[in-house]
Amino acid sequence: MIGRLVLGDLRRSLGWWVGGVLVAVVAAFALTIPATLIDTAIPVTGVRSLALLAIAGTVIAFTVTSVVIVMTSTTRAIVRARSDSFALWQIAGVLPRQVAEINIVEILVVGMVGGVLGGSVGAAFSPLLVDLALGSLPDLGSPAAHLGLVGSSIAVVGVIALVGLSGIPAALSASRVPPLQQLSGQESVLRTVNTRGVTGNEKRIPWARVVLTVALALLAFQLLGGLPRSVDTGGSGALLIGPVLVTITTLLGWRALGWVSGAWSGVVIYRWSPSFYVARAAVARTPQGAAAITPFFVAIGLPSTLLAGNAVASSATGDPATAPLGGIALILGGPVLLGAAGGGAALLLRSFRRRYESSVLHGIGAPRATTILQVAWEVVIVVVTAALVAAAVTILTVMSEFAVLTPSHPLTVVYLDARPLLTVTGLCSLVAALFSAPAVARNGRRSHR
Amino acid sequence: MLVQADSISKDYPAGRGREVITVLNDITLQVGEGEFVSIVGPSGSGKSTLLYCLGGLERVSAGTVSLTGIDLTQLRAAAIAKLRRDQVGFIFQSCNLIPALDVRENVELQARLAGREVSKREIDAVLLDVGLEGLHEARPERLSGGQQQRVAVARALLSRPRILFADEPTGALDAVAGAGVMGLLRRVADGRRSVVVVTHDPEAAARTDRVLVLRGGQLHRELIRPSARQVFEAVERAA
Repeated sequence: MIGRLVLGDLRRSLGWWVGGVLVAVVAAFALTIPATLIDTAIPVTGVRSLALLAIAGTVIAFTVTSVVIVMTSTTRAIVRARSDSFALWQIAGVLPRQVAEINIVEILVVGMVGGVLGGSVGAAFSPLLVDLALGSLPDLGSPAAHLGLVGSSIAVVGVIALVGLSGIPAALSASRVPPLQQLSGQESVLRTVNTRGVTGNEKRIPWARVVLTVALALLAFQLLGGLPRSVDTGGSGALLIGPVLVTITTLLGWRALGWVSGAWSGVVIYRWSPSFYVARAAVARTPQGAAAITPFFVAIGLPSTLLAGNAVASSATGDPATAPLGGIALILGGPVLLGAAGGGAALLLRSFRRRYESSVLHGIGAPRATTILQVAWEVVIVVVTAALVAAAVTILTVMSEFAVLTPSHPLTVVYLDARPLLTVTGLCSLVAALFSAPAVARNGRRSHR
Repeated sequence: MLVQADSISKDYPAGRGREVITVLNDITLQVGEGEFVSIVGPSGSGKSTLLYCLGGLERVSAGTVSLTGIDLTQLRAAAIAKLRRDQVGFIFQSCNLIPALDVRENVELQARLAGREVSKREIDAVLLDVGLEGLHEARPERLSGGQQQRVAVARALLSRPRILFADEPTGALDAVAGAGVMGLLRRVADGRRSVVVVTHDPEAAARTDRVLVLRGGQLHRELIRPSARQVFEAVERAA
């Protein structure tokens, strides 16, 4: 019975899962980059092999972290959007445990489809990209990059496993949908919050998240504490501090990021632009609206914090604050692409649910321009919020490294370069606009029934 | 006349290679200022479609519809939207409120869209009027169905429409909440504003001045201040 439900539901809800498949495709593609590096390193000997493997390890760490953050956010958004279906299933006799199982199976199917597609694309293109990147790192001797069947298969299996793991919180949430409240339109545990921003089920303390946050905070302190020694020995501590802070920030959840969006966008008041005001409320107060902020923040925050933190650490030893473009692309290309795809997928999901709001606005006489403007403002608010939070975390990274290094390394300077942040913000804006286009297209087809 | 419909028809395409489905067929009606009119009829008789055509949410296939003396069939979509924003209020059975906005924000939305300044005192007064005082900051999902309908009525009142269209405003409510909403609509009509309401509830229809009974997309009968029993029998005959 579960098998039939899964297949039938996947067919009916294909549109919802498109975003998940997209993220899985990019994730698999991103993982073929370190797989290519490892395959390339095997026939090479000596220090160059170790260097390639070290780069691959760093890429894997960043990519895995990004996949987990982005996929968790995406699957949660999909499950929230489909709460009504899960409530109906429970009314029809499907047990909550089975709802979770069905979701896990669906998420794994999504991971498989995306993994195979992304793995195939990666098998074709990753060696070319790695070749290009290694060309800018002459110390590595420009070995010929290649990716074998085993390497690409491991990348695909890895993505399926990561997607499955990332989907567990969402699947458990699906099983906790209270059917009667959900279908009667009352407060939904997954979909909405009350006036104080707290729902019944979400009043529980998220222990897993708390433990993870504390563990990452301890790791950040440890990395910072060891930074003076690390810069002297050429360790990678400085590379990791920023990304760890980025990960901690993502654990704060959509409410914290929604609050930030509400705070800065409050400069535009209701009477100046009703469309901006409605967009602001949608992003700041609903999980669907805020879901895109986290992936975009990861896309913008990772390169920004990593480059700034690395530059501060380099300045401590008097080295110039430069990093080879190829190396940066190798390490961050996948995670940045993944974050942008995740943000785009969240906006795509949001566009599916926009019909209701458009109907209300249409009914009370809002012209089509108002609803289109609302979509545009949401894109602006989401991307600018992600960029602002990324800028804050970058400043935190730089200042904390500066404070730790200055006593032992007086040459240390505060290094803040806005270019990486602005470049990736521009890329995210393009992706966000692209993925919001369906909402604009659907705008003309409204129904009040 | 605030609303004037002359021989209006509405067709929908039936699908690939098939003929059209006629939902409304040659309907002529008027609604005067301060009138409280209800539209009743069996399911599929075209009640909601007629309401949407009168309010400019749907375009007619034939005939003309005038709203506040302006011929909607001659207007572009943007001009109809502007007319609706400035002169018309709409209340639906559901699909009334923006979930992300609280009660106060939802209530002032239509007036804001029209570029009108709304004071806190005005909002307080209108919320008091519909019995929602103290719920300014509540989000829609925290309200009952009846309270949500009251918010929609408050929004319509604050935007000062000349005519209010309501599609099954009591359809999802219990008898007490439904009577409360119909009482509010009666007060709107008593304030020299016109109200046109689609309902399947004979009790609700009996609270209006004039009842239009639809059958198969045509105007079947017109009842003046009928009892609920008379409305029920008229609909039964139409079915």
